[in-house]
Amino acid sequence: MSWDMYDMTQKVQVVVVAIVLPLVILVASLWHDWVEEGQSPRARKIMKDWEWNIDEMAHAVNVKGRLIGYRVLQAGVIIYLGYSRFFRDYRSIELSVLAIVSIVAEVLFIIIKTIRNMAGDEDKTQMWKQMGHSVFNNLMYLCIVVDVFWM
Amino acid sequence: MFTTETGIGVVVMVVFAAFWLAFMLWEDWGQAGKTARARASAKANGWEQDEMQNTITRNGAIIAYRLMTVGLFVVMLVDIIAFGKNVSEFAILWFVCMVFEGIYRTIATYRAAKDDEENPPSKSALAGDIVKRIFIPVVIFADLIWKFWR
Repeated sequence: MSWDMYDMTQKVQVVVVAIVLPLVILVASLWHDWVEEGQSPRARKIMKDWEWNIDEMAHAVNVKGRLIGYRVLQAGVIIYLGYSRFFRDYRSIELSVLAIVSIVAEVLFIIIKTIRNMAGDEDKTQMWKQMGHSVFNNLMYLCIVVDVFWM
Repeated sequence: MFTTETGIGVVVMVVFAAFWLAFMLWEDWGQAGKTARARASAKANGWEQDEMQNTITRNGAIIAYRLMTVGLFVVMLVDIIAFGKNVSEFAILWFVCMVFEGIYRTIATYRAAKDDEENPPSKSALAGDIVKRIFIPVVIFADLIWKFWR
């Protein structure tokens, strides 16, 4: 069944399931990560109010797990894009756009957060260097995705 | 059509992705600097980070991870509902990263709790947890994969 065959009610249902629901999941996940990180007094207060008992070690394990999941996903995207190009002569525009959007979000987050943290810090060279390395890796990945996509 | 060149291309792609994954995991491990060996490795390679910068880098990666997983979900739904396309490969991609994340968390939690003398974790509970971590994503994605692979 294709989009044109749906009536108005079905189209609204599709929009809710395909856009509103994922947005709610995304916001809930980011909020959950922010509270679990407990960097601000407000986050710690929410954690206390909700009796969210998570110690530092469990938090470190969760974060590392997500990081591993992310790296595996990145490698999987490269394999999928390459596989589509070589085996099926097909360019997966949706996955490429997804990878590019997430990388841009990551880079922007790193740059903005680092610059905000730099305020009041006298030795800025070291922070620029550390930030530059993370940004460079992400830009490398971006180049790979774009390159494989256009190959 | 499958040719030798195509096969070589796919192998090169898989090996490259495996190297990329290994390199990124190695760098993450070095930058986290939990052990003396990790710190020495990061210093020798020139990618050491202080705690604050490492937190920023990790949080950035986690935001990107959340965006990608939710984005994949949207892509799958839109492809199925609006275009009736086969999304089994996206489902496998999602499944693999969820399983890796889950298994790592289970094993790391087990290793951290091993020294607990009052409530030591059992190996059967660990095995059960790993099965659960694989079984739940299978249940979620089996329908999608089955629908298109019949």
